[in-house]
Amino acid sequence: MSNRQPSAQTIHVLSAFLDSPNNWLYGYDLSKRLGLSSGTLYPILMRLTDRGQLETRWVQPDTPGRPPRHIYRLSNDGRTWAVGAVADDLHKSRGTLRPAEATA
Amino acid sequence: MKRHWGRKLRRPGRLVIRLLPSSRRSWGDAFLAEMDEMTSARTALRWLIGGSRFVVRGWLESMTGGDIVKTVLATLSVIGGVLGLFLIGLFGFTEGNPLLVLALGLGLVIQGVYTLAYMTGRLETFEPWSLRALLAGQTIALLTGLLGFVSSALYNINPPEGDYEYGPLTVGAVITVQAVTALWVYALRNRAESVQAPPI
Repeated sequence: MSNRQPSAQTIHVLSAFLDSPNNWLYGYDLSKRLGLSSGTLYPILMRLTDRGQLETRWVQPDTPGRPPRHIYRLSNDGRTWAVGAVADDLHKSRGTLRPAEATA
Repeated sequence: MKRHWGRKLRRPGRLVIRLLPSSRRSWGDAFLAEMDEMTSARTALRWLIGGSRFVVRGWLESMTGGDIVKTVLATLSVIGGVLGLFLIGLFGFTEGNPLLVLALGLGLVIQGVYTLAYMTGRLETFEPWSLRALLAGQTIALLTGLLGFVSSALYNINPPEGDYEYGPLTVGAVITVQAVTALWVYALRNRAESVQAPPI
């Protein structure tokens, strides 16, 4: 797993998943909610999935004749990592240390 | 009744996702499936254009494995190919252009297409001749490009009637840079890597 600090857009995506950690989300809904273009969102979703931080599934839509859609949610490992990454980002943007670093 | 623009634009989208490597094709399907939710033409078009970016990125990565020099080479090959098509079109649709314009256009298209075909592994069955042909072709391209670039640069130092020639200068530069990059990747660097490789 990469130790690099995730990009601001990745943090946005992770925050959206953390808002409803048990819910499966659609790509288009995420894009609308976060104001991210598909060209930015999908590489992030692909990368997070490759690293095992996201789970994906195909679902059949309610309306017949429509193609199956891909849905996403954080995996257990992904949730732990996302909480840390979002907290790190928050502390960095505030210019403060996380509790563990402050006491070290 | 609402027009489902997303559904309509999914068709050209299918052509675009064919560029994705097979390991990523399901992501292309996932991306296109979302378009069925879009009724606005603008939204669907923006979605498709945005997706084209990740498709092109995926296509480049499948060719270059994330190697920055190979990415530059693939990009230069595409630029060269497009420039070549432009020159061929210029020769075909406007009058008064010398045959050299057509020859340069064809040369650029062949250089670009062959390089991309080699990089995507489509010529693997013809190894080692495909590599030799690539190196020979790029060497000829390097000499031709340099000749064109230098002669245009010399011409532009003191052009008759102030008529500067930037076209041949640009074409010469594109051919030369592409050839140098290809020779660097497939001749110099490959040789250096094979020398460094530990014995089996």
